Amino acid sequence: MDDDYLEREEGQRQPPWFLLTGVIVGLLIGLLISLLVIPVKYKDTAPVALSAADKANFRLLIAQAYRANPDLPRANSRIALLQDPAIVDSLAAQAQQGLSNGEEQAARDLAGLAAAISTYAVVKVESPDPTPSESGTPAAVHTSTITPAPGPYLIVDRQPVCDAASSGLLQIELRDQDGFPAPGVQINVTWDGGVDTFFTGLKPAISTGYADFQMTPGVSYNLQVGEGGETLNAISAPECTDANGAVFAGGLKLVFGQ
Amino acid sequence: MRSWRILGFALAIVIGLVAGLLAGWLLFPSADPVSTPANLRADYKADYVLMTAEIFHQDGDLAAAMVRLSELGEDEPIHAVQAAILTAQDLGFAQPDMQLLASLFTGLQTYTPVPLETQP
Repeated sequence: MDDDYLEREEGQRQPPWFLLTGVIVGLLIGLLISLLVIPVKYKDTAPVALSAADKANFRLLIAQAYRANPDLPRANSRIALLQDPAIVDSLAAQAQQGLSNGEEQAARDLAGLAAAISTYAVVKVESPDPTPSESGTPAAVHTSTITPAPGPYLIVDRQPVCDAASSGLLQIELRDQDGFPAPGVQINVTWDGGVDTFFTGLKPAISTGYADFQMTPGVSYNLQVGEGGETLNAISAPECTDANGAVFAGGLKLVFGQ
Repeated sequence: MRSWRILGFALAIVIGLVAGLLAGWLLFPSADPVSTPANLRADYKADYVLMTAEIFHQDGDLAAAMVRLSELGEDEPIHAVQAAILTAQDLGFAQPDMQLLASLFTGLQTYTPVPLETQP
């Protein structure tokens, strides 16, 4: 009787913390079991469920397969499995990363695929009802802009860009023998104490044959486009004058053609 | 009264346990997928092998093909190609693609790994 009285008194004075403690203990045990002891095992998954590292490997595999077999609709359908809304940017970023890791061929493959997919998307938007070719794929896809043809690139135009927004920016535009943008072409820039390598096509929003490089005003650069391409020496940011007569470093736009 | 407390405590643990299991199995994995190529569906695996075969057809690098196929989790990479050929037959892959798979299979049958270091 006394015990019941005491428990009733205690129950009235304290909230039921033991219930909250029980839930927390159960939650922790449940998380421990579900995450460590019996974790979810994936089976029969789609590529979209791959981990980030495996997605990167999958993109590279698609790019390498595209180089081996330049079937753009096939590469496009494969890359669509990753359901990446910014796939071109992802490919370009991975290409840059590969380049910084010294994996030039991988970077070239990824850049080539990024540029090709960008071209493919543009062609599809511009031609909503393309005439089917004999193979059943859109005829507009089979353009010569996708794979750069071998051959030296020679300078065809050189213009200073007197715009403060592009100060020191070296803009390079490559065109193939048909005048189309040439993606995936390696460009080497050297200067006193430095060297840099990059590819066209990493900024497909501007052009699939476009690449740029940030110059330091007053530094002289040497530039080579593609294998056996023309080497330009002593390139530097041009001096420009604004409306108030002040001098500033402008940009430079170079156009190369085959 | 004490028995009610014990029962309530046990019930609270069960509720927390269920919530923890559901959170771990349903909530967190969907936010961070950890699948690997080995867990891909058979048709995706077949296309993965086909990509490897396309690359092998161009560069002839069997060692690199082996590395790519090892991602599919089979004991032997050739088993992945065998499975891919069967899937490709079921799915009606085009004849040139079947030839690529067959070429890779043949290459793997004759593959002899080159040891990294030769002992004197």
